[in-house]
Amino acid sequence: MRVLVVEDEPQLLQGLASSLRNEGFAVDVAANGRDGLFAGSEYPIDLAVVDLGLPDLSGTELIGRWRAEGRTFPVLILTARGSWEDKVAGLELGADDYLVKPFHTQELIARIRALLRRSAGWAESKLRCGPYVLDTASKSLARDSQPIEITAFEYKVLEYLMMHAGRVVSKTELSEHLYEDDGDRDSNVLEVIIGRLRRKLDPDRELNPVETARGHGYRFRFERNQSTRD
Amino acid sequence: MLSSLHARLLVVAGVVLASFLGTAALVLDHGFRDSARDAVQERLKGQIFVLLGLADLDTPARVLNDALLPDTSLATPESGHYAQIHDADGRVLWRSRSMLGLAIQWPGERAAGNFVFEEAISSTEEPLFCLSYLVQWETRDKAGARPYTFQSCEGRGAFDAQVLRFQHRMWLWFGGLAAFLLLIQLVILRWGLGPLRQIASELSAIEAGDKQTLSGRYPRELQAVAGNLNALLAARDTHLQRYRNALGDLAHSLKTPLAVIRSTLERGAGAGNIAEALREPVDQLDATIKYQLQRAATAGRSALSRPVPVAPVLDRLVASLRKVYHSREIEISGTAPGDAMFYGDQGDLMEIVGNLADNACKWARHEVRVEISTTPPELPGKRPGLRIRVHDDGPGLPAGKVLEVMQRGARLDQSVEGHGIGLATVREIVEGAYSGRLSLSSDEAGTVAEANITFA
Repeated sequence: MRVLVVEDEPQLLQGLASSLRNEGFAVDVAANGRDGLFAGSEYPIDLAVVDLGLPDLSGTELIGRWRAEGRTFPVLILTARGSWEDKVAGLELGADDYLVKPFHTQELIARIRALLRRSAGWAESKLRCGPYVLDTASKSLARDSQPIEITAFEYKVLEYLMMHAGRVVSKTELSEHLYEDDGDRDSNVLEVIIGRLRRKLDPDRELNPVETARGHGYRFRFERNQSTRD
Repeated sequence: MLSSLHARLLVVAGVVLASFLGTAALVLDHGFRDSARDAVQERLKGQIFVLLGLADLDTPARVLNDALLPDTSLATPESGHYAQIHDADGRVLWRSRSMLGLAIQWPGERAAGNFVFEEAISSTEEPLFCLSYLVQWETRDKAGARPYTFQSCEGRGAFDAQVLRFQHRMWLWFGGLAAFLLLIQLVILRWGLGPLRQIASELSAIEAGDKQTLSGRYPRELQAVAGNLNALLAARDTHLQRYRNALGDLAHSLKTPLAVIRSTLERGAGAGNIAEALREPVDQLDATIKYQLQRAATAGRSALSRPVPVAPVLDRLVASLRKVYHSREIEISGTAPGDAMFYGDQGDLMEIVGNLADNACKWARHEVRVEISTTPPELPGKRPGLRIRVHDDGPGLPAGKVLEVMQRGARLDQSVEGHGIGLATVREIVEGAYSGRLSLSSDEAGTVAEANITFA
């Protein structure tokens, strides 16, 4: 999952970026509104965290510009002004959630996960597809209630595929949402990871949960179990 | 330009006065000229009648005996009074002695029996008023009636001098009148605009700090303005007082956690211990700042505030909360009568409803209901009050906790979650700024927070 953070306070920006990277997100950073506008318009980000008090282009303006361009990714606003008047104004402008500074990083991460799930149509923190359950809070995987050990990067790949279960995800899309820089992308690495995931998810080769759509990409074969909203 | 009321009114009055006096002068001047001309005409007519009486046209050699003329001016050269008689061919039969050395153009053929009054110029360039009369004269030689023109003239000099004299006198009077009226106007303006000057001087006294309120007695039209200014000043004082109190409290309550932080740092504990030891004072600092700043920002009720319709504000808040609590699958509903009004600051209303509803959402299992209704005013004719009830179906609070929760914001000694600082803030606004009441009741079915607000 790729997250853009727009924040003009460099210390806070670096702190947030490293916390989010530790949590397994691909993170783009922007120190002002103009860079933020560019990043939000050019990169395939899944969510933006925007500070309202930016020096050049204000946060509300920035969100308005994105929405006017038709960018629909969820936006979480950070604001030092905690009055309801400001919160409501921000939410009405197109933000999806707010957090008043100072906040606990854990709270921010929980809100980000909730927003990402919500925008993919999941109402719960556990993604259930067929016999598989991916817990996004504890980042653990289980099949028929039996835990399966996976690495952090395998988790990232599987989370994206399961978030969009039933839909074909191209290799480009997958790598764009998992890596921050073009340079890191190597489709061979992805193929290796997918191969390892398949062996862990389905050691007996009977369910084939991750299908290869030839020439297009991958598809998590099991549709989500729970009733979905939106 | 014309930035002062005084100058504007004076200019308008001046223009009106000038146009009125100017028009009056023109009309009078015209009237005077007309009547003076009529007088000249009458005089010349009388002279022609005298000439008609004296003339004997049957004896061409002695048409008229000058000695018989009653008016000596006709006998005096260049006296300005002239007369002559022409026959039908324009030949002069007789002319007065005053016409010695000058000639006046024969007016030409005219219809008999009519007086014709006109202006002419003599051969010496003297401008004249002339009246001519054509008479059919029955002669004794039975040759039938012959036309003769009698002409009587008068120099314009006397007339012009008379008109000029009149104009002089008139302008003198009108000028004096205008000056007098303007002076009166000036006095009226000074007197009429006096209260405005008084307000201005009182305001600058307030600005200088010599006065607290507008105390003067003002005419009815200004009394309302003075009253509103006083209300504004009072509101400003209240605000200032609130800011001062909040800042004082803020400084005071920030010092304790700061002292904890400093002593922790000076003790030089290990990194892990420092993080642990700093958590609580940092949370406390955050909560203190939030609470005290909100206290300072509360606008409070004021005689001048525009009434805020409640329903649209509630709709916006409910829409925002639905967005924020989307993933919790809580049913959030808000009802308010369309005519419900909040007579205060919109920000205060949003804080009250927003915090109560937000708390409810944090605790609710499935449902949060915000019900706003109006309550009858305390005194008939006053503004109706508001009752804001927020209900959630959460686990509820133990009876003993309710009071503690309400007090928590004021004590600020615990980390704040859920029914914490939000409620303390609401209580501060409802009970402090609007002299209302906030109550909280809780059982297994959930929690109800109710704020009752009355407006003076």
